[in-house]
Amino acid sequence: MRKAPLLRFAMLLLLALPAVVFAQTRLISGTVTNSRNEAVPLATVQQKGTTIYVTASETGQFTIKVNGSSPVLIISASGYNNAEVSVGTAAVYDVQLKDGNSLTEVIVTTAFGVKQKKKSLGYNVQELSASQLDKGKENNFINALQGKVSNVNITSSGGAPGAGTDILIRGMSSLNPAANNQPLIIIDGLPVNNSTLPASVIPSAGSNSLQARSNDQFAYANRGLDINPDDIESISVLKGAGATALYGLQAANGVLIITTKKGSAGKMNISFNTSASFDYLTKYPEIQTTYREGANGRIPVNSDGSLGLKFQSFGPLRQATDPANNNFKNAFTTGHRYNNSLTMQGGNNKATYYSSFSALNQDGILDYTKFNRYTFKLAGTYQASPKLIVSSAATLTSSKNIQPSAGDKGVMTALSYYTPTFDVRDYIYPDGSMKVYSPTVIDNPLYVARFSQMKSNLARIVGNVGFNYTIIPKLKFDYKIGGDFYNDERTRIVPGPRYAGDPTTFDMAIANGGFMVEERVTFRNITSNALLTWQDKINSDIDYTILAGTNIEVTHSDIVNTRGERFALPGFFDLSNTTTLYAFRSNSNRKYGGIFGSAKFGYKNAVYLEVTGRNDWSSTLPTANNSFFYPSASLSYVFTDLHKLSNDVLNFGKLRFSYAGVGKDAPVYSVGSYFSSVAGFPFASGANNIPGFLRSSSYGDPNLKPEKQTSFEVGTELRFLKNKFGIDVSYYTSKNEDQIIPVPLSYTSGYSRFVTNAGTIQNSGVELEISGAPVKTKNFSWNFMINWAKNKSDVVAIKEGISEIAFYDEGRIVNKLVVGGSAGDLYGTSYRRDANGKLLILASGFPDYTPTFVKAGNALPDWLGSINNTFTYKDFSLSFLVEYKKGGDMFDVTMRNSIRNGVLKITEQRYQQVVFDGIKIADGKPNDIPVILDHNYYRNTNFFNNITDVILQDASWLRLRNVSISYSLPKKITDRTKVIKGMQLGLTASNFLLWTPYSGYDPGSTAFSAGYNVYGFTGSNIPNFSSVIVNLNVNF
Amino acid sequence: MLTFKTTYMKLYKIKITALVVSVLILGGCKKFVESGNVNINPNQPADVTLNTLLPAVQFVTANNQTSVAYITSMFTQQMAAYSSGPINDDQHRDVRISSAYFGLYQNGMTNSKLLIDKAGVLGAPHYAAIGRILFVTNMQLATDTYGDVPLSDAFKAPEVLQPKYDKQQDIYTYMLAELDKAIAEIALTNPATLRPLIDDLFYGGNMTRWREAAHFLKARLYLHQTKKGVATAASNALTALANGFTANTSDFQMIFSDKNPNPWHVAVSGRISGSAVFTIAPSQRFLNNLTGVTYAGLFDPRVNKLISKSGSNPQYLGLNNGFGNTGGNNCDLRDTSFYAQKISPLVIGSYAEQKMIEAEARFLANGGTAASVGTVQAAYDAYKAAIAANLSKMGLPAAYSALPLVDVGTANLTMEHIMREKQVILFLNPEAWTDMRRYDYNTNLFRGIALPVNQNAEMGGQQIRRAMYPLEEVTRNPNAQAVFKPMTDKVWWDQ
Repeated sequence: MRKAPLLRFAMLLLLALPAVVFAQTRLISGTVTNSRNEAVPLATVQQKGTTIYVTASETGQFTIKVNGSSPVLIISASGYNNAEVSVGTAAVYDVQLKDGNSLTEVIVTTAFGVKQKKKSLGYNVQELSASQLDKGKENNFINALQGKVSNVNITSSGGAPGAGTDILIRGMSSLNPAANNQPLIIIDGLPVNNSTLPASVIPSAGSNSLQARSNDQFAYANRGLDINPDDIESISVLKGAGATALYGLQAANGVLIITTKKGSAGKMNISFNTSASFDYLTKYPEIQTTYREGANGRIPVNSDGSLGLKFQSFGPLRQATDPANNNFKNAFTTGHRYNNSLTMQGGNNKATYYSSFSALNQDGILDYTKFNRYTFKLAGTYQASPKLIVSSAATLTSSKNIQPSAGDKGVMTALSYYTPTFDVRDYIYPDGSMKVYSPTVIDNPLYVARFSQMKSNLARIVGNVGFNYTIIPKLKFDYKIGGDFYNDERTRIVPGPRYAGDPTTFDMAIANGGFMVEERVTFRNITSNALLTWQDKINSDIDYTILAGTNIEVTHSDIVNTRGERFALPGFFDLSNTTTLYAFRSNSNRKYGGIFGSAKFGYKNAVYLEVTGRNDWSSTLPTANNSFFYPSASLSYVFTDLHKLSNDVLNFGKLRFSYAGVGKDAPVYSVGSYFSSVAGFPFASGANNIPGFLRSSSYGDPNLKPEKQTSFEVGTELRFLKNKFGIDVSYYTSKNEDQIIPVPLSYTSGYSRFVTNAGTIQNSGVELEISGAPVKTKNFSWNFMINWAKNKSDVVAIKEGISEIAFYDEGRIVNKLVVGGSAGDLYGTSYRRDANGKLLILASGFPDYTPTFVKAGNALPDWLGSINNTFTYKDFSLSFLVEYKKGGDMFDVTMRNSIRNGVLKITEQRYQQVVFDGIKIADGKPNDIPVILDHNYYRNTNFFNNITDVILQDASWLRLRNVSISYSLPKKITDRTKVIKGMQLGLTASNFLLWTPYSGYDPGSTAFSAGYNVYGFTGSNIPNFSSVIVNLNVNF
Repeated sequence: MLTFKTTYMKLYKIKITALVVSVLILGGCKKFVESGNVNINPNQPADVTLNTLLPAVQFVTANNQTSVAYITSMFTQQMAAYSSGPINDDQHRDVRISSAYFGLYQNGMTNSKLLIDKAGVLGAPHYAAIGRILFVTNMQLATDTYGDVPLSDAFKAPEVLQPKYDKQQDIYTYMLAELDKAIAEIALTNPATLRPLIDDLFYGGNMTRWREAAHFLKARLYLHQTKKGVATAASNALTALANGFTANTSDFQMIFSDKNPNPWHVAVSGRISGSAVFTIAPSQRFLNNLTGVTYAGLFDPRVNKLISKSGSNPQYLGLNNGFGNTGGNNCDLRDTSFYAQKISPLVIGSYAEQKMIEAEARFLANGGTAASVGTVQAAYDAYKAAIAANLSKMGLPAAYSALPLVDVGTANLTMEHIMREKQVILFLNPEAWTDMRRYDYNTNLFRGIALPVNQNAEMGGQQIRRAMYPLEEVTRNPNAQAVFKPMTDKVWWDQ
């Protein structure tokens, strides 16, 4: 393994570097800017009538050698109209480009921040600019991608302030329930950690959340939340392995390359942006209003005549004077978000700077939940010599988050039991204790929200320094080293009883006397990237770029967790006040090294061939297998340019092909086996505390080798009617083999999981992007963008004799991957039906159900489509984004409680004789056996609340993701102020309308942490909300 | 031309430099990722000592017994399921007890095997002996619940991933031999530096007690084989128990604590008292037997220790097996119940049980049968001693043992008396199910035992005789499919 990549790499470097003959020339230089005096990066500067061209720098500077007399330069850049400049005697020409049609030549950011013309790429890359991203004023930049990029599936952990967001690009690529399927995030060339670390917050007794451990207890933030969305200039989405090949093992799930805003030469520009958002719920579960609280049709009465314990909503008929509260609605309020940011940037021709400050203050739609985030950024570049540019950037994020408890015994679970007879908002007694309609059985969710929370206090700094050295004009060296550090202090508190037997004790505290968890997370990542680029032409037809680099990364995380149980002094929440302490520490260390190279040849600016190779080393693999090489090749064939086929109907046409391999390493500490301390140990035995260890049930193959992902992508890009319309289609397959998965073993073998290379999962799909600018007049323009994508995954194999891997078993709905099935498959008990779909009816008159779990749905969508329209009229702009999700089934884990407690509308039909529409099993005739649907039917039998036909719902949706109108103050007016350069006012409605067959809250959120890999479960986190946002932007 | 040449030379140099640099990097990268042992987990040990392994094995063994009894106590109808509890098992539907299978093999036996092997390597015979006894304790639970299970091929991953199944008869031979080995090892001198002490959560390192426990387990295993020859079984059992327990203080049990509560508290009573999660509760049948309903005039004071009745209704209302909680009940295992408090002992084997083994063995050895009346004095004495020991363990006065329906006299003793009392002694112990199977759910011995309501139709009206292998095992080990037996099929010693 060591020699092969060496040889291959050497060959790559030795690719014939041709000699070049230089003619007599003149040197012309200049800067390309736009109408706002901002630098235009990477414009193409070409001498008219020749093949002489250069690409301007990212800050707009160019130097070109021209020949002949009275040369003319054509300057073109993405999003601008071409400009022509006649070269006179001067040596310096500054060019200002006018904003143009958006469908002209597009420049996108590719691996290692290399800006390339989109036409030259053999794979699909979608890039979004700040203006496309900031409409919804999302806290989390990942949410802003929703509906704007094809084949990206985004699911948030709900609407709690500080909630995390999960993102899957082109489906799930692993059979391992613990694998990372989230894309790599690169900011300004260096990776930024986006992991979601669930805190360990489960007490020793009193919680039923054992399987998901802490993953459903809070909507933990994904660390991408620490990024100030206002700092983002653009996001480039690299989906397939062809695009990500150079990034290596961490990029097998795609890459989001974020370019942040930079300063540009010129007068200082100050921009102030403020927005206020009003967040509210629009969709709730529907309640029954016919029956009161109680059971079996009665209000419980004790034998002595006193009122019994109230519970459930299977009581007597509601009288007109009795209240009927929709507590699903009452529990929530209007949330607010205030976002203020200030940026100052500028510089001269030697140095530029960019600084920003942002403050986000959010009060959630659930009272007492908050998220406050402050970010500070300073970035600068300095041209130390004509050859050397030095740059550095640092961002500091400080955030405080108060989250409500979710999952088992959390707010939503408690809410699901609440009877409509009582208003949930009446939650506290004057003495501060909990008021709940059924004390000792359930909690009041609003009391839980206020007093049982998790606080997170985060500080993070991401910074880098680097330089860019032009060794000779053709050869550049780029170096960057950066660090990402954060510290998260998390404190969870569940107060204990005020006195022994306190009937208002939190459900979760009864068994443990109350508890608190102090968790400290320290994360550190250092990355060093070095990149050597050689750019040249062989002759007037062939140009090429050769790139070689290294990438070294060291990651360390350390979690120290201490839990104290049973408070002595009520109301004093400190570990010193707890009776029993439990502690653990969890470290994770890993090192990567990578070396990579690529060679790209362009022929007549129309055919491009790129080959890449990368060799990775990872500390998580056994030393014999820790080095691995993978290649990629891609071809872009712009047939309209090569064969001069361009005409007024089809003005651009391109075919592209790519083939790529990527290796993936193992999770840390996968090899061999360890012993682990038994839960609850040290064991308190009399006066002694006795530690105890058991061998872990997992054994890692000492011959573990890297996983292999092989992708193939083919696509075409066509533009019509002078760039008025464009279409981009991709088809891809991606095969993941030798997966490092915990193969389930017979417990009798001594281990229950064998972590080894086994199994194949394949994704294939189609992506379609249609863009258009059908109308463009002086005062009015209309642009649209359609995204459509479908991904299908196939579980091809696991290991001989093993046919399935369980991802999550809720008890009623199981998410498992079965050979022949797909990622996201959901299993459960369903009604039995005949060939015509008719229910099969038992002798009792009730519909029969399957004796075993059967496949009942799939959590991931069949396809996703969206249309984004933008209209501008003079100084007004209107845009709206409509999104359609076809398929994707969801199980609301709290809905079953609401059924079993008679809260929901679907339990309203009671004490009436019904005949199920079906066929009798006994004689095959239409059913005529009457049954009574009563308390017992809904609550206790298996005929209703367990059945997938009832509880697993189609969560297809049509959503007006956002609609936004903005008005820019005319230049005439701003000019008169002499201070204000520009001013823009906007109004946006986000997540505004939703049509879905799904009953319940917005099904667009997950019950688990981002990155947990289990989809299809929802309802136990605070629901997603809708927002109305007012925005003001002023430039000085 | 000069320009060209210089450029070319420059290029050449750059190429060479790049090559050299890349070679260095290639070697360097490998060294870099391998340096510092970063892939060794700093929070989990790669190996452990005898005194850190032993308490963990004991803890899981106690848990395993609970996992088995949690389900099998419904088969003996000591307990019954709430609708929200394991109602399917109560109705004999798809009984597999997966958590027990995992606990027994993965936690219990795998780690006791490690303990034995490690003690062997270190030359610590006492740890080895304890390891064997704990191994047998787990294995006995496994084979008595499932019949044939893996043994000779087991615990050999990654070499053997799909162990074959061994016959129960061979497993019994093995277990008895292991107990003999343990007894021999206890007699050996153990190095003072490797002595079990406070890490031994059962006996605090008292090897005499361990020796007694080994003999006790032998007696129990022999008595299981009554259907294979009453006389041999009885005489073997009597021989073994001669060296068994001598008093309640010998009981083979683990004491739990407030911080580490008893598994019954975790599984049942703590959940009822804590979060009102209702799983299983005493069966009406069991309550009837103890509260003068089945046996008129015989009120067993232990009932108020074993279970907690709420409310003022004098009647003990239990759940009916298979019926769920639709009837309303007032008895539960609560955190005041004898076996279900946080600090309760988890009794695996007791002096009282041993005395009942003795009573039954002597009863049988002297020609007694399930239907016969009267026995020898020694059998009767053992019967009385068992009751006295159990009452004393619960801190109850001896008055109960003098009640006419208990103190029946040697000439009137029947197997029903022995089994009635032994079932109470074995409350929440899987041995209760073994006894019931050995006597074929005889309604003359086990009053009121009947098929559960809504019993799984596939049982064909038969009683349950074994649990099926868990689905995880069936889907992962084809050998389990090959030896599959329905729940009505008797295990070897039951045939």
